[in-house]
Amino acid sequence: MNLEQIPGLFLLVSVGLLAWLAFMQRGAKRLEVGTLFIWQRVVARQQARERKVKMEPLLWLLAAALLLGSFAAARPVLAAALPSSAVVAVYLERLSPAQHPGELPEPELEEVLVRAQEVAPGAKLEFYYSGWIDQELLATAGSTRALARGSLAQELAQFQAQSRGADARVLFLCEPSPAASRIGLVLPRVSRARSGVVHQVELRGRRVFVHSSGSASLSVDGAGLLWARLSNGGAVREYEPKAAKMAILAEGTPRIEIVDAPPIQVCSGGQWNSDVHRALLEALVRNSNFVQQDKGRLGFDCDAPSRVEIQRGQPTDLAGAQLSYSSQHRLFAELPLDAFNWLAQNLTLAPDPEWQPLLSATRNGKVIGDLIAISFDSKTIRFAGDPFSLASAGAAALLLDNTIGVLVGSRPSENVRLRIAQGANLPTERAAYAAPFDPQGTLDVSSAGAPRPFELAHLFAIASAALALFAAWLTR
Amino acid sequence: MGTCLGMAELFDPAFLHELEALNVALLRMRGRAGEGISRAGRSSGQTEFRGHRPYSMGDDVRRLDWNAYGRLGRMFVREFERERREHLSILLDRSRSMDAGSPAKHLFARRIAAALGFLALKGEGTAALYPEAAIEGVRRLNRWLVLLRASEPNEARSLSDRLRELASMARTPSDVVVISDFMEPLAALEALGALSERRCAVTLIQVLSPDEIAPQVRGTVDLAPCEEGGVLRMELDASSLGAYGVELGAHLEALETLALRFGWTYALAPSDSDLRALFTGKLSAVGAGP
Repeated sequence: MNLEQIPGLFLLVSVGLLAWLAFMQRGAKRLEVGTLFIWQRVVARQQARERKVKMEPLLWLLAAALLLGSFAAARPVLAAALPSSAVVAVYLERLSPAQHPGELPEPELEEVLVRAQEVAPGAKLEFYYSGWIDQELLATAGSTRALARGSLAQELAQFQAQSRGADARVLFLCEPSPAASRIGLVLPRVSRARSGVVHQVELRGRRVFVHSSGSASLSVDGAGLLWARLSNGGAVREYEPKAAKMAILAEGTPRIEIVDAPPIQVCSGGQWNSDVHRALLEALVRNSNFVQQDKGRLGFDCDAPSRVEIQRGQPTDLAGAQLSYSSQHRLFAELPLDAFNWLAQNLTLAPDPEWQPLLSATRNGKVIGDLIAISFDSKTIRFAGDPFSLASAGAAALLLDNTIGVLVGSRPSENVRLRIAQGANLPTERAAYAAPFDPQGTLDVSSAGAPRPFELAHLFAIASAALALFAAWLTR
Repeated sequence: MGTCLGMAELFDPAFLHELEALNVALLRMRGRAGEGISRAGRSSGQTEFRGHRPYSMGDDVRRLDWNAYGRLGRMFVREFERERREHLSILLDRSRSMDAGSPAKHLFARRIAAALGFLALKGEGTAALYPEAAIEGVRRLNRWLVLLRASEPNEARSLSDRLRELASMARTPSDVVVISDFMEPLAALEALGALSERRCAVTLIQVLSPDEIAPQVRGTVDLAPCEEGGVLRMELDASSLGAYGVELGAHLEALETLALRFGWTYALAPSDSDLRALFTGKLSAVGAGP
């Protein structure tokens, strides 16, 4: 058993005082009188007077004692201000996708600043965020530190690492997160649930699928609504563009403009010279929005901004090697990997820090060499060998479909005839569905000497006991 | 309380000497007052035979001396002289409430009665301690004192009942002195009104003990009445004692007003007061002396 409030033991003094009062209690004296004739009139007079004015001090004292006792039972606490030297790191999960000045401003930013100051009164606030935010406004409440944009987990990892020196952490999140509550006090990013925020626009052929939160309607120009489905607190609407430009205006979302996509010009050269290659390219041009030219935006071993290069490897012994790849990468989506003999040509790419491997050959857990790599600007995919020629036509077509999809954003098989001309950077789904929730975690002020909230319960209890004792003294 | 006192304790020699001194003092006062004390409301009383005179028209036929007419054959009227003899009746409150107080009220009340009786007998009058028979002559003072000694405060009947009995007596006394604390509703004194209508001089002597007039006790007190049963617990403080003073004062004032309205003599006699001062002061001033 611990005693949270040692001063409360002062109440024990009242026990001694009560005992003293009980000891001093004297019985009534007996007085012989001739008759009660006059005394009964006195009693009647006093009773009449008491009926007129009820100013019994004992009653008021006991009432005051009860009042103070009730307050004491409620354990009133004065929220002590953190010392001015305390530093509280505040993470802001962004609602706006803004990356550059002048883009969509961050909603409810002022309210969050006020709430942060209320949670940690008197402390120095350090705001951590990703993307672009109004720093002047943040500077009015504390200092700012930018994080690299990434998933929530990535940003929280950065926040935790960079705020290591802070005394406490506060996180304003769109949704509660058990992992975040272990870092610090998690508070809702918004004070009311968001609705009508577009977080995804899908382009399929000449159809536009708009995903938004809540059931709020959208303002769409230049397109006709084909159908809408409301489920799980969100809405999906399908539109068919009717004009050259389709515009979507929604709450908390930048203006989205969708226009007809021009055909992608493709060119081929270099190693793409076999019959298999030519057949693949012809099928590509014939079945999708592609136009073959000498110089194009998409190239196959030729001088183009986006390229697919084959036969770029060096001889390597791949006997007994195994494959290692990122199965989540779009290059391998719906791709029958076993349909390719990746190791047959014994070629691997030379290691290059500017390239990210997508498929590697390993032996005993060690990477022998990379078979497929993508440049960090995602403009070029390089193959060590030529999997297109060695595989069946269907598998080769699937691989090429995925490869072009990685480079240009949509696979030729999707036959996208539209493109987002403006507003491609949308809020995240978490930001679109942000809603209030109960705070989680605690404001853990880890620095030594940080003040604790000052509890007044013992003071109220002592005052209550003093009044009760005084009342007891009056009844002696 | 309630202890039966002996004669020597109740009426000690000093008290008897005090009575003599009181008589002398009152005689001196009468001398200064001329013909003596004549009290308002007193009846003409009895007269003393002086002689005969011949009957003349208009004389009261009830005063004819028929014996003289039988012997002499002439009608004579008997003439009387007004006598100074007093016929005093004292009603001493013997209720248990008189047993309270320090000094006890009943002791002082009996001494007042003793003094009144002594003065009446000394003045060749009669004194009766109701309901006992009247006593005549100062030589029977001892009998008077014996009666008073036996008048302990243990009477069960109320003062009201006893006053009604006194008022219903066939022979109306010339003077009635009621000695009591009068700590009861004034309706108890209604019977005295009937006596007044029959030209009886009424004197009320209210005996209260000092602690009854101004209680000094403070704190929580159980008031135990001698008369009623039970106990009344009270918190005696400045407020309640002030209220007591107000109520007692109102009661005394009502009693005095009642006495004035009926022409009674009223005197408040604290039980610790000086007897001679009482008779030469309050009672003398209002003409209550015998």
